[in-house]
Amino acid sequence: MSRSEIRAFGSLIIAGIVVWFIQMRFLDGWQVVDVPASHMLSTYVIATIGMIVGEIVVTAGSTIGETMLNGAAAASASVEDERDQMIARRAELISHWFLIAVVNVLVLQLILQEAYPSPLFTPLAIVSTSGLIFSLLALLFAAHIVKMIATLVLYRL
Amino acid sequence: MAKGKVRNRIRQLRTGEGGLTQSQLAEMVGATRQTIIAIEQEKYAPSLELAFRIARAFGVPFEDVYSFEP
Repeated sequence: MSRSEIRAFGSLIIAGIVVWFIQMRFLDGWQVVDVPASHMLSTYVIATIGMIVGEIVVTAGSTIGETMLNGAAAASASVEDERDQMIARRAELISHWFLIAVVNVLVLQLILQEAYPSPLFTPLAIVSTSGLIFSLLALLFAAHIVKMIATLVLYRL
Repeated sequence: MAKGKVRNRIRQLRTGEGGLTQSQLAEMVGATRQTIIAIEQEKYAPSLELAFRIARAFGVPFEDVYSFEP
């Protein structure tokens, strides 16, 4: 396992924990609940700081992890090469297309539920501030999770 | 147009007379051990620069290391 893989795996776990934290603060079942601004701000600050600290810990930990898994000689060798950069670029692209696809689905869904309201489908609750902030944060972290999963999969191909 | 495949003899050259390890070769050419593994398994085609570096590390001409199957 290379340092980039260990870093991607760690970052995936951190992002998963942050998403779990965000959904815990915003969702009741599958519904977004209206929360006060202070609650939204604290969630945002905690999620952001948590992700930054997590990434720092993962980056430092990946160096130690690689040394433990592959030995000191391997860890002191080239940290990142052209294949790592190629995989990072591809993963970035996959995440980019995921983001575009999800935003388009959301836009179409909102337009269609406005134009053709149906009791058969539960409307998306993005109209409230809580709903909007939850959607944006969830989308941001979902794109990051997709990127990390793509990174791990591309290393295995 | 059908996609061709770049073949290589890196494993044979590496384990031949020199008896290099993947880590040693990786260090010589400025790549990671994982990249050397991927190139040996022909899962990854190296850039021209890295391909030349590998050939130079073995001290053989480029064509002795790589071949192309159209």
